[in-house]
Amino acid sequence: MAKDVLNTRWLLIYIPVYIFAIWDSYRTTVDLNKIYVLAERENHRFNSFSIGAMEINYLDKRNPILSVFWSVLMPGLGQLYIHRIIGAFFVIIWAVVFFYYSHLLEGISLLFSGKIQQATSALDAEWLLFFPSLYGFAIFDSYMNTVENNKLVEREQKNFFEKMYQHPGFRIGKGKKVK
Amino acid sequence: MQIFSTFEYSSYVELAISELEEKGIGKEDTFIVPINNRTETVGFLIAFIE
Repeated sequence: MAKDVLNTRWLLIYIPVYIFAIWDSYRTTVDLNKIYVLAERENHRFNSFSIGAMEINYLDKRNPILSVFWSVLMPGLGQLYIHRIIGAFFVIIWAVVFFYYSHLLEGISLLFSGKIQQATSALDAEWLLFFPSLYGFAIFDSYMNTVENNKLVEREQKNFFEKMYQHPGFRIGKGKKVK
Repeated sequence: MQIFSTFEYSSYVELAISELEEKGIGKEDTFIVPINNRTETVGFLIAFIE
């Protein structure tokens, strides 16, 4: 049954694509981890503000739970919340395509009006199966990036305070404690 | 008079300090020490001299 639905016109392309994706993402992750350790040890600078044609972007504390909430409501909104707009539009556009071709929203509407048989037959399983990975990615990605951004935000403020507000002439005076 | 206080991370902390600077408490009168637990910055100890 599963063998019958394979299309040999496309099938072989999966071999190089999958092998490359696995190999390259592993290699890049290991490399980035090395660079991360070095950058953190030397306290390397990073951007905290940028104005471009696409967006005004800045580091700011955001709530990871809200990222998850928006991603669950609609994949892509979590990315939009943390101003990762290219990722946001990538996910939103694909979500719309998958919603449309899977007939999932029709299915839900029919389910609410009690037409369970019709709801089941309205669905297109081939498209529906994209949703677990789409939701999984949208939720994980927005949550993880919110947490990591927050670390950068704290580090940025720490660096700023240490640079600007640690004057060597500052003395702590002895005296009476006032309430 | 000196004032010591601790704050959690917030952009309002920066706003408050710049507000104090507007009122004449200069950079050399404010001393800020980040408070870390083992892995992350949890807040700041801020001392002012008036």
